Amino acid sequence: MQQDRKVARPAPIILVMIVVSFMLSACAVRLAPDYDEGVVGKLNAINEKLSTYFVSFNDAATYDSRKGFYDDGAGQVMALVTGLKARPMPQPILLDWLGGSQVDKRVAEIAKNSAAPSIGAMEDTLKQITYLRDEDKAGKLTRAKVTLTQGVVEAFMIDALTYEMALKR
Amino acid sequence: MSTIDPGKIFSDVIAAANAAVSGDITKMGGYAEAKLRAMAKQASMIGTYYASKLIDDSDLPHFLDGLEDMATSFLRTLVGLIRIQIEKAWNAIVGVLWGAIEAATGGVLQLAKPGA
Repeated sequence: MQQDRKVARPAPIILVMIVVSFMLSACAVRLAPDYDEGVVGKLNAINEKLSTYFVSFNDAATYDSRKGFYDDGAGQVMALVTGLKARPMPQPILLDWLGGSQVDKRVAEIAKNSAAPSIGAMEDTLKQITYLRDEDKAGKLTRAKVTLTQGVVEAFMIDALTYEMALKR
Repeated sequence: MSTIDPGKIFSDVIAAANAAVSGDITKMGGYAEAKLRAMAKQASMIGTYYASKLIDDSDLPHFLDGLEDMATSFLRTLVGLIRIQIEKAWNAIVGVLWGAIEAATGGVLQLAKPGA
């Protein structure tokens, strides 16, 4: 009889795991969007266009000869930013935990912000293209300024491509 | 119906979490190192160009802002990558627990798989 009671009683570990699993079932997470080959393709196209500009920049050439790059480049980046902003992003409660740090408000905001980092990287790239265009138009663009801008823009492109490629999971 | 071995589940959970993220953590370390080097190089170039008068006081704020944007973008990307790792590890762990419960209950207790 005592033996029967022992058999009927569920093992405590099973009960614990069932409870834990039910808790976790509400939390099977999605913290980032799906990989999108179209986005990576557009990033690669923008990267190629920017690389060509930086490599072929010539002090002797005029703004008019580069106007096409500024218009096309800015248009491509703006279109991508719009597309990235329209992409559905998961908003789980877990993200609140990631942004819980009060050590530095700005760092906490970055941690809590669920927007894809490629959006910020592309907005920053657009800012740099606008700078190049404005300096060029004013006749103040030099090889040194282009080289410094290249360092910044390459960093943004690497950020965007690294994140978008990591979504392939 | 099999019995549950807590020790085996523990080792399976560790193995699943490791398999889910270990390669990516190595890549993330490489990315972070490359970015920190790029920021150091950029800061050095700004200083050199300024000292050589290739850029002047009116240019400096723009390039210092750019350096700050580089750091911010790096942090945002790092957080994004960590978030992906958390997602992978979490779902791998939950998957092991689900599997163990289903095996222990002989499939009587069917729980939804993560992501299903």
